[in-house]
Amino acid sequence: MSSASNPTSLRGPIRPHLSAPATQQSGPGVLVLAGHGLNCEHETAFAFQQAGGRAEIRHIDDQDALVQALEQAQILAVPGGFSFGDHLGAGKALAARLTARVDAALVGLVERGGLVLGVCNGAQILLKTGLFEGAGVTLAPNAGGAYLCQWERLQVSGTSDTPWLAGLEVFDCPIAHGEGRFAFAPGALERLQQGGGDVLRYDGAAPNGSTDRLAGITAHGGRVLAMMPHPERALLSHHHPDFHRRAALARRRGEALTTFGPTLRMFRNAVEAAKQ
Amino acid sequence: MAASWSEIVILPRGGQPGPGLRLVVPELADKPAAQRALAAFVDPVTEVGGVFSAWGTTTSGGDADPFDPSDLSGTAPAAAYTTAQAQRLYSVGPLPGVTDAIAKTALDVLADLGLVSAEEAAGGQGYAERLRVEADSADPEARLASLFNPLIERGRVSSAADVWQYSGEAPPAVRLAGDEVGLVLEVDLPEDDEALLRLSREGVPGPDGRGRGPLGFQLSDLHAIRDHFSALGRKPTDIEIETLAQTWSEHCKHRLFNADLEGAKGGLFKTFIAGATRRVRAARGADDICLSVFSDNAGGIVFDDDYLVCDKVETHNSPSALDPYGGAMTGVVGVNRDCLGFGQGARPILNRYGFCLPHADDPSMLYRDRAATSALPTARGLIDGVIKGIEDGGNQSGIPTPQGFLFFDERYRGKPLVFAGTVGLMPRQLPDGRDATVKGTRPGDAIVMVGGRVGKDGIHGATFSSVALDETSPATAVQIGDPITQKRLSDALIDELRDQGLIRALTDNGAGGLSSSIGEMAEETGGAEVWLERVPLKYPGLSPWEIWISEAQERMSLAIAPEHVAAVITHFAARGVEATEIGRFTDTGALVATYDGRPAMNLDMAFLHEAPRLSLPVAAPPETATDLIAEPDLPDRGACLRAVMAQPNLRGRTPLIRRYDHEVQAGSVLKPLQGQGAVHGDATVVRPLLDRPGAVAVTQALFPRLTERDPYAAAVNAVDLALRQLIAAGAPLDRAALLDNFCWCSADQPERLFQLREAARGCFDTAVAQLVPFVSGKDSMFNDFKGFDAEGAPLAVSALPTLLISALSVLPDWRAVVSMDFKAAGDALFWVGPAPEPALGCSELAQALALDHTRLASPAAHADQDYTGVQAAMAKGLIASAVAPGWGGAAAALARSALAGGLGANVEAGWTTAQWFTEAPGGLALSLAPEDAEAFTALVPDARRIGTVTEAAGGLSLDGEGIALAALDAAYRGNESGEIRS
Repeated sequence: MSSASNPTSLRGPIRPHLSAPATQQSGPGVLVLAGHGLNCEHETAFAFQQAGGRAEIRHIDDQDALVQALEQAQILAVPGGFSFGDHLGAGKALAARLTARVDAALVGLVERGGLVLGVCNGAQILLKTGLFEGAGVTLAPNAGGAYLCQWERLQVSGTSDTPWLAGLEVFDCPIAHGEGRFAFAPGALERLQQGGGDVLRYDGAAPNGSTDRLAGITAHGGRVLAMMPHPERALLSHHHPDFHRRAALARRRGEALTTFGPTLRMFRNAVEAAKQ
Repeated sequence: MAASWSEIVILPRGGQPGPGLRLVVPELADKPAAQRALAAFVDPVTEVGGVFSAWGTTTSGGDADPFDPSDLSGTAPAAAYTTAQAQRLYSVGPLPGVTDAIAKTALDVLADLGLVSAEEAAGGQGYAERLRVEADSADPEARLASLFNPLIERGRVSSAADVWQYSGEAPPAVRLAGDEVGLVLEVDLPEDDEALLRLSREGVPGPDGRGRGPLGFQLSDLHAIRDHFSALGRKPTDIEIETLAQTWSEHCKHRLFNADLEGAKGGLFKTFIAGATRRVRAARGADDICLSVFSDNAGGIVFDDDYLVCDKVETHNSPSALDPYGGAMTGVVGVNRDCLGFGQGARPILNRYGFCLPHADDPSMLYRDRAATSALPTARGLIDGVIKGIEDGGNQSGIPTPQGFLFFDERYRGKPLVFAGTVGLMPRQLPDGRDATVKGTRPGDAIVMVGGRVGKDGIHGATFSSVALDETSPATAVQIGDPITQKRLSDALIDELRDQGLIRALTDNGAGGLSSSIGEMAEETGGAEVWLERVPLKYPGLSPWEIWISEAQERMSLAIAPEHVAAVITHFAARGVEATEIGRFTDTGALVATYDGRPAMNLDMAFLHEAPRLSLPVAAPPETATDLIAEPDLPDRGACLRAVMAQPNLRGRTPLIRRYDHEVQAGSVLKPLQGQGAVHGDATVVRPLLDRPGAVAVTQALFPRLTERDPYAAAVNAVDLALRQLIAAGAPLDRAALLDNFCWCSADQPERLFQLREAARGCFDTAVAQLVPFVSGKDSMFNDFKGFDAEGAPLAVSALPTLLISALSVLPDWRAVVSMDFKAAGDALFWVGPAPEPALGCSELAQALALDHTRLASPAAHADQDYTGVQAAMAKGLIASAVAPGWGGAAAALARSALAGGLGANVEAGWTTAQWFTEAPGGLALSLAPEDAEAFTALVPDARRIGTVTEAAGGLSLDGEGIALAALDAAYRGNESGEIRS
């Protein structure tokens, strides 16, 4: 308790919402951002831990520690949420803060071969940082106008070479957003396609009216992935809406379902890629 | 305030319709500064922006910008909007003094960019208007009126070009006269009873002689106060009177629920609610699961050896009647704070909601005043607003909102009922060994207020919800929510500070503001002293009594040992949360407040917390109906099903469910939509810790129409159904708990009190029969509207007396969860429990077919059913699907299992149509693999085989009368957007 009364000790990593502290002491370092309305940091850190990463949650306002963490991490995750309430448009305010405070460290992580994942609000933020500078792409309000929380089937582009999605073709994942429609400046979609950054699509009509049915895009040779669906919410097999039927039928065959769903692969991919 | 201002305008690119923003901020120094601001604020793909200052204009279309709007539209932005003739621009901004969260974020960003000073950002020197560019409307003023609430916002309609220029207007600021700053008045308590009651009705007279707003006292309260101060030999101050009004209010002290009644000496709460809990805990002995009941902001039960879960369901009816969006939003973020303020602070893991609403097509207009100038929201506006309020409050807080209900009846037109509940998770012991359910404030501890600043928001919220809604209801009682401010507070508190041992105690600032939170916390030490001039204000000019009772949102009060105050305040500051030391806890026996050292309040704690107990008469309503019919003439069961499944209370609400994030925190096990058919279920289940198998199941049940005819049966039905829904989901009753929300009308009337007593008695009997304790509750006794129609004729609309029962249960292992959808053709269907008796009174079928004089089920005939065999079968994984018949009876239950599974069923139960649609206690419908039938019936010997699951083509056949699945689906989904627009 005596050390706790020193305010500086409060500025360490944030403990994930788990009953036991992470035992993972090796594996690539994964930095998960938190604060100001981001709200998926705990399940995102859990997903990376399950995949063998050493995940650490840090508040974006602990500037010095954040710069240091960005310099040490091999993977950065910007999780979903409502940063700054999306008051100025999704992701703008937090992107401005990151850009103003830690831009060099952020770009540095990517330039030395690090991987970056932005999910939902995290994707909206990434698109407004230097990582997608000049890409001419944004995430606009859903065509239907309303926030949508529902499961979607996703399709990985045949030409995708992003390490994040290696080995995945079609998988199910929930979305939960009000501003998830990819929109492009003239010519920008074609540039993205030519560069192979159009990696993830809705299998069927895009629920949000997204251009070219896009659900996720990459930059920096596939190392930076911005996606609207939440892979951390499809990590466990019980997350899937058809779980109970599948489990009942599997039991009759004398089988049991696996613990994990398909998206564990994404987090493992990143951890494996970061090891190399 | 800054001397000069810049205006930042963001509009959709190319003159397109869509949203925009107009921000007024401290003046940006020059063109480079304006360009940096635009780079942060304007999305170059979809938006154009301009900064307008006294020194000139800067737009986002600079020479080097590849996204110059002129490249797209061929014109400059302003020209794009002026040439697009068929357009209107709607601007909506907060009224002065109303929380302006958008401006605050804008200032934060400008401070990050170094374009405004940190002081300017912290001081909230800015203003934000939401813009909407839309195609021209035939009636722009009507369109504008639909976009804002005049109680808290102002709106205008113009052309887009009108805002694309420098106006030179400063942000609107609150200008209070300020002549009451530091002013403490003495209050005369007249001898005359009529004058006393007038004081209570109109409020303490201010310096101008006008009353400050209703106090809601009973006459006996006023006598007690007069006697108390007369014995002290002095007059009370205005703060003292306001504090007593808040603390003794129906809202805070539940006077009616605690009043002596015939048949409930000591009050309904003590006799029937706490009484049931006492009885259950004693009977359970070593298996008691209660850890904290009725004494804190929520009730807590065992999750496992290391954790507990807490639950609380609040009502926010009066605020939602005036401002549906803000009322519902502050309802959900408010009950989140009950969770954060439970024990040493619990982490919210699930939100639930419930709406009792008028029908969307109800055309009536109700007014608070005879001149018909102050209208209540339209039914449509009310529904849209409360749905959106829960959406924004829950989604922005990162708490899943999987569980809810909708109940429609025209009697909710005057006062809607808005329920918001939050389940939380907390370690049972803190790292320093303290029991986390214990508060532990000590004399000498500092009082630290943390979160939002104090303004005139919500003055008299607690007393206002304790009286009927009418013309004199204060508009300042409306509260404004800012979920992100609360999220920052919640993160810092729960994820960072709680386990550090720096905070001794905490509680929510809810109804009554500081007066309630500090008044309650001070009970532990026996006193407190507050320095009101230290409380941070949104704007200057508040008088001491306003600071003390303001219900400004997103605030909590903490007790901190003096040596830790600096560390805690520093840490909150590092998280963008303001924390201020405003006083200290004492053991003097007095609640003391000063302003600049001058005394404002010195109230005896014992007197403050002993509101005189009321003693009220009850009277049974006259018997009305006789010759009730058990078996009315009815159409065939297929037609009845079609009618029932299309009822507003039963039909699909997928668009609503999808607007509420029910996946965040990644713990979902049983979702709000079940099966491949995506039908809304009765229970939802989440795992709060992804590295432990335990899970929490929640359910809700209510029978408001039955309450009018048989309140005892309505309560029995509700408790029984909430528990059966838990069982159907695989959740055990021996780890379950109940919550009650009595939302009554005119509850001081003897006949209403009779209904209240009978309902409470029904709660007691059923909870005790099933040995499930009540752990928390909240009531709301005056859901009455008294106002006028458009012609100025007086009218009154009272809500149905409504008892909502919420239940939760802890599953040791989430794998025991069972969903309601049929799983495979050929599965055996079983019925567990008594055959329904034919009694359609107050049922959904009676409502759908407008049946009169139908019989009511005998109350409580089967509310003590033993389901332990079913639970054992579920734990073994033998059950494929389970559903607890509720609204619509057994027929609707099987229809939902069929639709959810995309499978049919052939059922031969031997029941009449009335039996199929009766809504009475007892009964579960289960399906299982045929090969499991033997093992199942060994565990549940009285289970009755009633049929077989079939392929979809077989449809649903009930005792020989059937309906195709497509027809069922059409009834269920045909009008799912009728009430809920996506």
